[in-house]
Amino acid sequence: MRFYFGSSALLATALWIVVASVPSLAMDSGQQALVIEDAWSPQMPPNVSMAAGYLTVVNISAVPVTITSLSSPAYHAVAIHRSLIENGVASMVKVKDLVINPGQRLKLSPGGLHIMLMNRKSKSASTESLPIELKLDDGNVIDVTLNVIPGRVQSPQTEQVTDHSKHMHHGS
Amino acid sequence: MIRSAIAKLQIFFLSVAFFTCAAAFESPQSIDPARLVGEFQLEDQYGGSFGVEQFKGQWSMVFVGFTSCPDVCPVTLANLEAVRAEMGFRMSPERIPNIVFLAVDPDRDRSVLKDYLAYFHPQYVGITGREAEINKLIKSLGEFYRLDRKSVDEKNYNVTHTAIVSIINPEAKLVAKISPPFHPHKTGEYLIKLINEQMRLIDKG
Repeated sequence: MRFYFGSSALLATALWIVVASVPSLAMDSGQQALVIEDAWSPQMPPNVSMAAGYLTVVNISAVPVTITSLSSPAYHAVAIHRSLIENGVASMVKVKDLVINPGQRLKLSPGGLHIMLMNRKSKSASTESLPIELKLDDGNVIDVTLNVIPGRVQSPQTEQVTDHSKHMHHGS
Repeated sequence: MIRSAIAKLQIFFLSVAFFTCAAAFESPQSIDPARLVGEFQLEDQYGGSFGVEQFKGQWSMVFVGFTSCPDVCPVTLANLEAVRAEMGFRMSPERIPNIVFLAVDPDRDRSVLKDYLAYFHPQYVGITGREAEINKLIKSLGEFYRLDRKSVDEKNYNVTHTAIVSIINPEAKLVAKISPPFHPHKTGEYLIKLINEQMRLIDKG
């Protein structure tokens, strides 16, 4: 029994070493330092030639990574913007370089940091997905597909309202 | 010496006034006495004329925005809809303010306004028109906007605008201002109280 436990612990240690070394091995072979999760774009009305994109970006490397530029085959210009509401005035600023620190998980979400897709090339917008490319300061390029989600944008507040009503429903 | 002291005092009072205003943006503000909206002539999304007369007969929330705004404007519209939903639990539907989207970027807004609003809610009213007429309404409401456009050819410009919503009563009078983030419960609570009080006054004549 003890022998068995000992060997499984050894096996686990060996596995851990292999697993733990994978990211650094991957990094050495030129793989990306950023992991992209939950990439989506709220479906816009058909005639509007602007769209917004949101995603979560995680830096799994040991060094800061900067997103230096973005592009899309479907739009003439793509950039990261930050929406601000200050003293009751809504404005938007372009974020030239977006730095993601080692271990950082940065969420782009409605009403704040977002990807701005400007001036659509084709007459009609895709109702399923939007491809974009992120160019990084380390020379890598990440291909991301934004899933087009129909329906209204959920702000954090309205999500709370929805959660609350769901909760009430389960309780009754 | 005296002049510089006066200048310093002026700066002091100006900054006090500024910070007082800045702080006030967080909470709703009643406009007392209520102010009649001035004359203006715009069009709604179906091409019908929309002037001060069209504010009469129902409550309105006027929101300044533009259709090439895929981030903040949909969030604001969703938040205002959440406020309306909250009010719907405790108020008869005819007293719930309708949303009027004042589109201040007519070059890009005019052709898409109908589709844009239909996408959010079939009841929303979108109004736009000539710049001078937009400016009349903006001035009358005490709002502000600026097209951040460097040249006429530029297509991807942003529009900086007030994120404050004007509450207009069925007599076309500006009675209050509400500010982001438009918390559904707090804003809804404020509006229910305001509208019920105002309706009592209107009914009394």
